[in-house]
Order: sequence, then C-alpha cells, then structure tokens
Amino acid sequence: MSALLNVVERNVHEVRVDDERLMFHVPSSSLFAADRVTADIIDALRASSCTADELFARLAGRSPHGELAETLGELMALEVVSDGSPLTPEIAVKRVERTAIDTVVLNVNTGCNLSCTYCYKEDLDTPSAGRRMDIDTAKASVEMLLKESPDLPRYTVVFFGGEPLSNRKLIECMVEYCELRFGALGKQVEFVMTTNATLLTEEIVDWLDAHRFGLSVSIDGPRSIHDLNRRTVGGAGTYDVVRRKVEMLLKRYRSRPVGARVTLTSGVTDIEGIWDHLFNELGFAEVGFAPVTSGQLDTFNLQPDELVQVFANMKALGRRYLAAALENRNIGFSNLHQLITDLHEGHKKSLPCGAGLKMLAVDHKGDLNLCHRFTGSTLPTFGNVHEGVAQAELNDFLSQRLERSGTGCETCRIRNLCSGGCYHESYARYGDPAHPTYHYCELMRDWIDFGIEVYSRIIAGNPAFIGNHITPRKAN
Amino acid sequence: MKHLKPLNNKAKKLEEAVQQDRLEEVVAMTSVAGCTSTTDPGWETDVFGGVASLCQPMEADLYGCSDPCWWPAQVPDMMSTYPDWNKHAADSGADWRQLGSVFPKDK
Repeated sequence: MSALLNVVERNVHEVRVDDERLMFHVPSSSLFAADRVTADIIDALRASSCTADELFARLAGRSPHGELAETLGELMALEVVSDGSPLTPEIAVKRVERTAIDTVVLNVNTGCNLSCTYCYKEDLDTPSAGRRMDIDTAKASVEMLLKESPDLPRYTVVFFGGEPLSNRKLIECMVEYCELRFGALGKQVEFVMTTNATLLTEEIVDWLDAHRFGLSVSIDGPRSIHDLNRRTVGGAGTYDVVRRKVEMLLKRYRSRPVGARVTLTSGVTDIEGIWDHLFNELGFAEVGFAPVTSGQLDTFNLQPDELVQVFANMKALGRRYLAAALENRNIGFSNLHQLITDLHEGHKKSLPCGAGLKMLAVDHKGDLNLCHRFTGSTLPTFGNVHEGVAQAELNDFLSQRLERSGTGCETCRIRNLCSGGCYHESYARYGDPAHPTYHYCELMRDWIDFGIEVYSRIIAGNPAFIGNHITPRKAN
Repeated sequence: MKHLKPLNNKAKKLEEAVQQDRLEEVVAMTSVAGCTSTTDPGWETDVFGGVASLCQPMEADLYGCSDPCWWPAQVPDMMSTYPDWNKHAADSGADWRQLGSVFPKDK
C-alpha cells in the first residue's frame, strides 16, 4: 500500500469540549467522541499526508500497530481519512421528482387588526381592506392535500393571516369540515394557528382547546420591547391587551403547550430578558426567537454588530438551558431545543425546510405558494388549489437548491443542518430564493458548534434529559 | 467501532451500518477496483499470502481488467464498448456460462 492518506476535511468537523475531542461526521450528521489513537492519526495526517505504513511508523511509539490499523480502518470506512478513492456522493438524489405534501397553510385573511411595523407579510392589509379566503377555496385546499398525498395517516392544516381570528367563521367551518372528512377516512388531522392573541375570548379559547389547536402567540417581550413594533392600526402599543389575553389563554388552555414567537428587530438583542418575561412571568411553555435580517425595510433589520450580539445572547441563554437540563428541567428555549433535537437524531437535510416539499401555502385566491411568507410576493406561484399543483415547476425550484456545487455550502461543515437557510430570507435579501443566506454563515456555524457542546455535556451529565424532554417531541 | 464512540442516534446507526455492510462495501472497493491507480499488486504475489487483491480469484481478474482500468486482455472493455457484457451474469462465479464472446459490430 503506497497511496497517500489524507484527512477529508469536508467530511469531519472537530469540536473540543474540555479535554474531549468530538468528531462531527458531516455527511451523516453523526457525532462521535474520538479516543487518543483517533486523535493521533488525524493530527499526524493533518501535519503531513503519508502512506499507511509511514503513518504506523510515525505513531509506533504512541500505540500498538494493531490499534492504529484498526482505527485507521474505522476512519477510512467513515471517509474521514481517504486514500484518494472516490467518495460516496452525499446527496443521492439529484432531483426532486415528487413531493409529499402533508401540510397546507390557509391564509384565511390578509387583513390584520394590528399593524406591526416590521411585519414581513407582503399581502398584509388593514382589517377593512382584508381579502378573505372563501370557504370553497379552503375546502378545495384540503381536497388538494388529500389528492396530492392520499396515503398518509396524519395531516396538518395551518391557519395563518393577517390575523387568522379575523376570519373566525372560516376557521370554525373548516375545522368541522376537516374533522368529518379526515375522520371518515380514518385519518388524523391537526390544526395549528399563529395569532396575535388580541381577539381571543374565553369562548374561543375553549373551542380551540377542544379541537387541540397547536398555538403560537406573537409577542415580543416586556412592554418596552413589545410596544416598539407591535401596534394597532392607529399606532398604539398592544402590550396590555396581549398580556391580559395571554394570561387568560394560558390559564385555560389544557390540550397542548403554548409557545411564544418573538421577532427580533434592530435595537432588540436582550434575549435573556425577553425569555425571562415570557417564560417565567407569563408562563409560556416555549419561547422562540426569529431574528429579522432581511426585511424589506432596512431600518428593522438587525445590523451586523447587533446580530453578533443576538447570537452571543442566545448562547448566554443557552448556558442557562444547559444548567437546567443537567437538573432535568427544560426552560423552553425553543431555538436551542430544536437544535439539540436535530443533533440528537442526527438529522440531515438536503433542503433547508419543508416549504414546497411537505407544505404549501394557499393565498386568498387559492394560488399555491412555497410557504406563508411568500403569499403576495412576486415569486411565481405553483399552481392553484382548483387546478392542482404545478409539479414540474415545483420540482425544478426544489432541485436547484439540491445542487450545492459552486456555492459556499459545498464544503461547509453545517451544510446538512442549515442547507442554505430560509428561502424567504434569501428572496428578501438577494431577490433569489435559491441564494444561500451568506450574511450569517459564520454566526450559524458558531451556533451549531455551541449546540454540539451543549448536547455533549447533556449526554455526559444527564442523559435522562434527552429521554424526558427531547424524545417525546417526536411522538407528537 | 472501538475508537470512535458514538454519541448521537445517527452515529449509533452508522456504526451498525459500518459493522454490517458498509464496511464490507468499502473493503470490496479496494480489493476489486484494481491496477495502478489503487496500487493493485497485479500479477505479483501478495506478501501476506492473501488473494483478495490479486488477479486470483477470477472475479478480481475479470473485472479488474474489464471495468475500471481496462487492460487489453481476454475480456471485453466494459467501460465504453460493451457495457452490458455481464448483464446476465450478476454473479460471475455462478453465471459464468452467460459471459459470452463479443464481436466488433462493424465486422
């Protein structure tokens, strides 16, 4: 054997946690702890490539030959070390040939009773000018879902807006329709809604509870932060009303945990303060943060230095998440909890999200959009609920993102976790939904390294947390 | 695996795959895809007495010469001229009778 051995850097990423060397196997999203022999081999080959025999000779004083050969075999099987043989292709599928839609998002009204200054909805209207989806379009959307994917056991119908509760009649109608329709087929249907909470009453909450709605409330934190942007059409802050409604909601809601969705805009980076208010004071089960980096109005976008601050503060809250996890408590920091779930399972994504692949969003006219963020945008739609999905165009769109060569993603160590980022952010920032979101790659890579560290410390210190708080999410 | 301790679920699955079949695939690749590019010892004797990488057994000889680095020997060139030559002989040990002769089409 005289082939030169090399470390395949694009396939392995190392994270050091204390004295431990963790190897993240990029092609499969596997995480290993490397022992000294493994580390020796990698260090030696990084210093200079050589043949196997030379490698064994160089490390002869450190480990017995048998151990070295065995370890080298493992590393070569994982294609972390290569002798120049062709590597296994990472994404076996070169083209999306069919999609498996299991979720439909109904944009039930473009109108909203609030006028949050940063709202990304490109089709947002005031309540009086709101364009409502009619019941025929909504039913046709569900029929399209069943026609596209007839064989699934479970489907999800999402109500989105505007403020979805401003078209409450349609929601009630559709829930009744879906429960009968899916029930008759012996299939399950789940309902999900994101709301600003202002229109909630005890009666509505009890009705949502009876139908087991998964609820997210848009709320940005304590009054001083929330009222910066989340205002009524007339311009007044909405914190007081939202807080009152949320307290009523959380007191009555039994069927599922309720999450808070926080939008971070320019000037807002106090992650821990916001989390403390929403989790400890108001009692939300989870708090998720969505940093705005690519909005149409640049004044709302977090500036580069603010984004750095946001990620630093997310890590600070992440340390509290870790400390609590070691005591078997979950502090509901949704962004990190999701990352830990991805890392635990070793999820590998060829595409950044389910938009177009598992989910389509229907606008008030019945046209099909990649997701709820694209309704009303200038991106061409992908068919109509009455005429069906424009499958060829959708496949073309998704396939272009599968091809990573020539992009910064090609050799990126988080390519299979991030997969280029959100289509809509790319679209808003670069005018092209297929363009990777390069503006926060470094921060994202660092955040995932942090996730690997937190995950490894949980595994080492309290593996029961995974069983108690991560695995049950899968069953939902 | 002994030296890489799997931490997450995917690593555990990968470890099983490597133990069961993936590792075998990799070993098979290095023993069959022959000749100079991967330092196939060719006609010489293997110093360890093994035969997997040699031109014996006949499978190694056959495909070592027909597929990755065709040698103008007694087998057809499967790289470009006769890609379907072994179509009916997936297992050359068992189906060797299906491996017939080939004739240039322009003759």
